[in-house]
Amino acid sequence: MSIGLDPVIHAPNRLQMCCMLAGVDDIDFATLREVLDVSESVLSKHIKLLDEAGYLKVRKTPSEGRVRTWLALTGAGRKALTGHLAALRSMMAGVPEG
Amino acid sequence: MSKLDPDTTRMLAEVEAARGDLARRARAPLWYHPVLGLLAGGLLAVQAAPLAARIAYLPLFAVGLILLVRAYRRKTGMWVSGFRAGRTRWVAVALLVAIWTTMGMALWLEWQVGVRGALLVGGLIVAVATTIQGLVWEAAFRRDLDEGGGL
Repeated sequence: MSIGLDPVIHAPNRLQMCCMLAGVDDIDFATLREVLDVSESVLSKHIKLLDEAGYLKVRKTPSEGRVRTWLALTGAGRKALTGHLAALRSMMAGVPEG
Repeated sequence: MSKLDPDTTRMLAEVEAARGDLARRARAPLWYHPVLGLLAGGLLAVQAAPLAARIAYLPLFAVGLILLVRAYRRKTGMWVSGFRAGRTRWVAVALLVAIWTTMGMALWLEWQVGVRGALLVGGLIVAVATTIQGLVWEAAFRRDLDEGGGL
């Protein structure tokens, strides 16, 4: 893993998740699953990893007789994503990360 | 160029694709902005009514907002703060300034100067401005997502 890249965020699906979450306040589980085109179990694993790293806030709300799961990026998650993207872009430019 | 470049390029392209997909989903129901406009405009227009009607409007306004948020969440599967970073923040601030200015002017004209109907006209202006700005905000949000802004 290169300097500046966050191993928790680095997996493609988790990077996509974080980038989407960074643009909104929160997204529900079903919408995220549709956009990423992954199974529920795969998404749940990614959520668990990000949650354990403190990058994700998970909230459950009742909605029309079922429970809906809402996901939001925490401040730490946003900071980690910003650093990760900066590292990716510097790799793209062929500039060594400071 | 680093030998990781193909992976990095693909990864960034996937991120952009996912955000583009999200941008296409970020569309409120067609009636959302007009209803929000009516609620906001009504808040000003109702000031011309007796005190009891003004007080009665407040819970209606609050319930209306709650239902709108629910409808937006149900339709799009997400929630976005109006003041999020990016172009959207400028649109939201512009709307707020326009509404406050219109409300202040209308209240001053009706109550201080005695211009009858100023509150109703002001309410209409607020309703139309809120509707239009809502649509502009949504377009700005989609553009921000498409271009990776607001990160």
